[in-house]
Amino acid sequence: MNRQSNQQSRPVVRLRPGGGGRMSSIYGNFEKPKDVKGALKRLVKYLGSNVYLMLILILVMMISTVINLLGPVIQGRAIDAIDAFEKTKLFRNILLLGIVYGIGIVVSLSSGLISAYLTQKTVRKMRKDLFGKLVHLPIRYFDNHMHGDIMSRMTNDVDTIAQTISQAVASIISGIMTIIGVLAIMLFFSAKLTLISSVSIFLSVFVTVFLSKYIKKYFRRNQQLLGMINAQVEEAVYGHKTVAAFGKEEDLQQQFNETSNQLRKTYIKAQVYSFAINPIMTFINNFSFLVIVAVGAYFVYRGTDAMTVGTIITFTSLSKQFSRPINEIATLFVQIQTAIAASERVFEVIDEKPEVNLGKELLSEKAKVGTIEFKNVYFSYVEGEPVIQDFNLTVESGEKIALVGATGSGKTTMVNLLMRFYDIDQGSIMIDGVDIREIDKNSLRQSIAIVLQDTVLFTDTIENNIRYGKLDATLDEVIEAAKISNAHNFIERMQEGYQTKLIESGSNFSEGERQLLSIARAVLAQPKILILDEATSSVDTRTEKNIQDAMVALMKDRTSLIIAHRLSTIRDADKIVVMDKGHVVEIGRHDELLAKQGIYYRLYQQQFAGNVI
Amino acid sequence: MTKFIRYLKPYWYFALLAPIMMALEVISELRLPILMKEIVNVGIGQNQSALIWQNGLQMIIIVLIGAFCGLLSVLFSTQAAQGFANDLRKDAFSRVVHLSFEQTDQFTIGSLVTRLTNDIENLRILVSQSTRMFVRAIMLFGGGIIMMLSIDISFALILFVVLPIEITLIFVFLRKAAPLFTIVQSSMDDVNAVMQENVSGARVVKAYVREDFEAKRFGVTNDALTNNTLRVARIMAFIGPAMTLFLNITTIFILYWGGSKAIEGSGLQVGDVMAALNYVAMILMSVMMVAMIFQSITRAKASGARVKEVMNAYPSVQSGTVDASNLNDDIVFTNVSFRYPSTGKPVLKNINLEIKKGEMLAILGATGSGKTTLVNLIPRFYDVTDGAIYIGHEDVRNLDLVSLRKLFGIVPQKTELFSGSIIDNIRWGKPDATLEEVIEVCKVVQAHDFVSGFKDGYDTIIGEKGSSLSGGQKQRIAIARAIIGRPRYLIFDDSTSALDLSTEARLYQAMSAFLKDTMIILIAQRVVSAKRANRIAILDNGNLVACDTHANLLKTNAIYQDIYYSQLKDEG
Repeated sequence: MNRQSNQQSRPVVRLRPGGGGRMSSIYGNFEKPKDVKGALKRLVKYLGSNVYLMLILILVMMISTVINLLGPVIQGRAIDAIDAFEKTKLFRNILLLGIVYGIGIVVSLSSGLISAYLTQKTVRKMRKDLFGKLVHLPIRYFDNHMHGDIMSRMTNDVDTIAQTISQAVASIISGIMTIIGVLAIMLFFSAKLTLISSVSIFLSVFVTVFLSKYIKKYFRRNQQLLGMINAQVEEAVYGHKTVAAFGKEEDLQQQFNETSNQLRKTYIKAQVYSFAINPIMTFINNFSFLVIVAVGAYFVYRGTDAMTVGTIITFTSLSKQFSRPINEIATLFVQIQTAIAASERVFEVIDEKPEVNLGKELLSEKAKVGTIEFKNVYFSYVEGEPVIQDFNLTVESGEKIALVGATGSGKTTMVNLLMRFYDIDQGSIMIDGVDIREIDKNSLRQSIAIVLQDTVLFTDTIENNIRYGKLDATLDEVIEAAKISNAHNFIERMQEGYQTKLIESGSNFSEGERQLLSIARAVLAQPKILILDEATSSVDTRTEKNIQDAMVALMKDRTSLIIAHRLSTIRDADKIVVMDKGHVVEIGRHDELLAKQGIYYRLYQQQFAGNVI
Repeated sequence: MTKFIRYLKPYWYFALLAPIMMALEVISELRLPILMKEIVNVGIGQNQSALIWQNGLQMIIIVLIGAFCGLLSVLFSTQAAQGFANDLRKDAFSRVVHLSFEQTDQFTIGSLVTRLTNDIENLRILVSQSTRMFVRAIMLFGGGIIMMLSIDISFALILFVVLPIEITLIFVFLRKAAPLFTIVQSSMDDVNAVMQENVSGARVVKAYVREDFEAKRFGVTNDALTNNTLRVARIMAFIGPAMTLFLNITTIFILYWGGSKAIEGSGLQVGDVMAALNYVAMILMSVMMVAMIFQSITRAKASGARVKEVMNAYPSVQSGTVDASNLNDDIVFTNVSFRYPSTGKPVLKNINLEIKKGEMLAILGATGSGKTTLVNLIPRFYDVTDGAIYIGHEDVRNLDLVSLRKLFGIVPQKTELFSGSIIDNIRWGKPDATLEEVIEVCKVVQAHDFVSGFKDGYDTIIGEKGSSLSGGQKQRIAIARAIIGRPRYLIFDDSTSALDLSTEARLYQAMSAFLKDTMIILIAQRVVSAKRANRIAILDNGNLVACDTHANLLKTNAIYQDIYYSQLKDEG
């Protein structure tokens, strides 16, 4: 739509309408966070918006950790009782164990429920904030960012955060507390055995850190390859017609096979490394178990250090408690990094400046309708590369204006400016004598209806898609609008008529039909000013003529602005504005311009140059 | 599910070795508590340090073997699962690229992507789990029970009470959760759909000032997703504690029962109780693992069905056997009718049309009159419902599909370019084209000027930040791609709609010199474009109402006159 030559800030090419889908995962998803602290702080703040719940969760986690640690201790005592043949002591400990276990169950159930609730509420809020921001972002944002990337922030990134939160919060709290608690209990019983057990801790940490480096590397590569797989499938399906037409199936297949084979290779590496942690940890565990038993037995045998069989049992099960949190935190570490990177991407959107709306004037309160005045308008998408230069034009109420000119002459830009999707650099645009920068944006846009080059429809019924122009319209009004835009006939022919569902934003309708639907939507809005930007390019000329006739009646005392390539579409206009490189070069009625023998005349003649062939 | 077994066949040795290795690992794990029991009972209890060392050494060796087998099992099962997934993925992709048009109409892009990624991933997880975890779970379960009973038969009592209750309970939970997973998935789809529409339709949302309306619409789907996810989470939150509950009950029972017995001196010793506690933990863990596997089976079953739909989608357009490469003949439609299989509505009715070698034929008609369908039938993007299309004397359905389509240069209505450079895209039409050829054809299609204006010229990457093509520019690249191979048949489906008239005129003029003997079939909206043709076919509501020269049509055909005068009344 808007083209500049600056490499950096050019709007992105969208090969697929609706953005590149998952393409972006090629680049993203496994980034290293830039500002860990900042992002983490905000993430915690999000979690903290449910302060009480968060506090309760922490409390519950603490209780559950204590109970998890008490269990083995009491078990050990019970064993000691057996060893010492003291039945009452055994029963007392068993009773104690029962109570502790009972509390433990309640606690772990409630912590599970609370953390699920906390996670979902947090993510819900995040998604809501994100979307709330999204709808208020300026059009410039959408033009300058890959749609696939925006989508991926809203879906993949939020999901990553959600999953991590739900696992990390519980695991980290309980992990840290477990490690501290285990150490304390161990020290209480025997400093020497604690020393021996801690060897296994160091081994566990070392192995996990060592392995997770590789795991991270391969998972990152994995993620990239998965992104490529996505992109390749998408491209093959999206471009299916072209692929078939050029017989490129085998080439694509080969390309895909290469990626798929590579994915297999890195996947195997990533998985072997990450699964290898398990047997290795088991080995370390068992080994340390053995050492503890051996050394402990030696102490018992020597009768030193007040060592009992029960203490040994307690130690063996306590040392098992160690490796679990270490393991978990190590796995989580990679995930948390990803989640922080993801939350940075999410916060980036949330921090984007929304569209400002400083205008106060309300257009609808004005009696007069639809005069537009452009005065010395200058505009550029990228500084230093003017797209519109010294544009002057006055449109009277009820006039039908046509903008013509070569592709790239700035016609669509005029629509962007009038709707205030972009703001002009210099000069002014007035509607009904009021500078549009002083008009409330909502009021401005409500009084203008546009039908765009790229039709946008929603996955809903035909009726609701047309009703988008006026939410409280009755079915009769909807049908009336469809009749005016010549859409009624084809809608009637559908089995479910106005209740027919549009699949995937209307991909089940032909381009021409989609255009008719979006015209019906604009008609229903009953605007003061109607803008048609190549709105009928895929509609045949006779249907177009019918629409135009109906429009003329409808727009009798309203203003319309038409952009078209077909001269037949614009010949009847009250004023034809010929644009070239952002300037107005000619203005006049069809006959006047022809008589002038200028640029319009040449355009018109070229239309018949086709006769030569 | 059995359909997918054959993808595992090439890796059967891995698939077999993985569980064997896993079994060895489990056996070593099962052996450990027994050795430890002896250490405690005999070594510590009777002060026999020699036994401690002896058993300790054994334990180390067993642990080492166990770890080694465990690693091998990981390696083998990953090999098997990845090999399986890789082959399946490649095969599925081949199905996707060979789908017929009516089938791509059925699958949405997004769903095909998920089928080839997530769904196959779910199947992979199942393979990986069943080659390792399943064996592990069963062996831990069976082995644990046997070992426990071998310590004291009375432990059977508690197992027979606790285990059935526990297993039933887990399955009740899973059964309740399973349908919810599907619901969560579909509410996730809803959320994504609203987002997608707002990202790609931002202009329309703003133009109609529907920001708040959209936020509300999103709120509804967002809440639904949150609530449904919570419903699942609530059920899942019960499973863990329930498991712990049974583990705890059993532990207490063993301590009580075993402990009392040991104290009374009726055959049990401290070490026995300890070993029993270890085995109980193993047994209950194994039940948990089986539950997890069942979860992935449920998921894999749904995924498998979705992948199977792709694998079963045999292209309805099947290749013929006759080589088409040397064909250069008239195209003849005899009594051709067509209805789309999905809707059943007739689109073309009894079309008879002869297009001559080297002729330029334009097709004109109202929106929905069947123009695109008509041209789609020739290279067999769809097959006729009735009648036949011949090239020369050969029914197109008898022709080899690849060689048939190679005869054509096609520019579809919607321009589809591929990621890669501009020159890569143009070379699609002729893989061995030199840069000079590409430049020549770009001059023909009036693209050379703007392409050479780019910093990277023909190497400019399409589809990444930093390069931008307008609709008209994309169309010209697509035309260049179609004509660079100088095809014998060229189909333009409203291919110049985004070009301004002077560019279009220059393009046609240059193209007629570039393509000497090519038959050109041209769908047009503008009469000026159609007037260039030798003949113009008028379609109306699926019927071919006329096919004649411009001059004749202007005299005889009411529809044509209507179209013509609506566009060019002054020039009449």
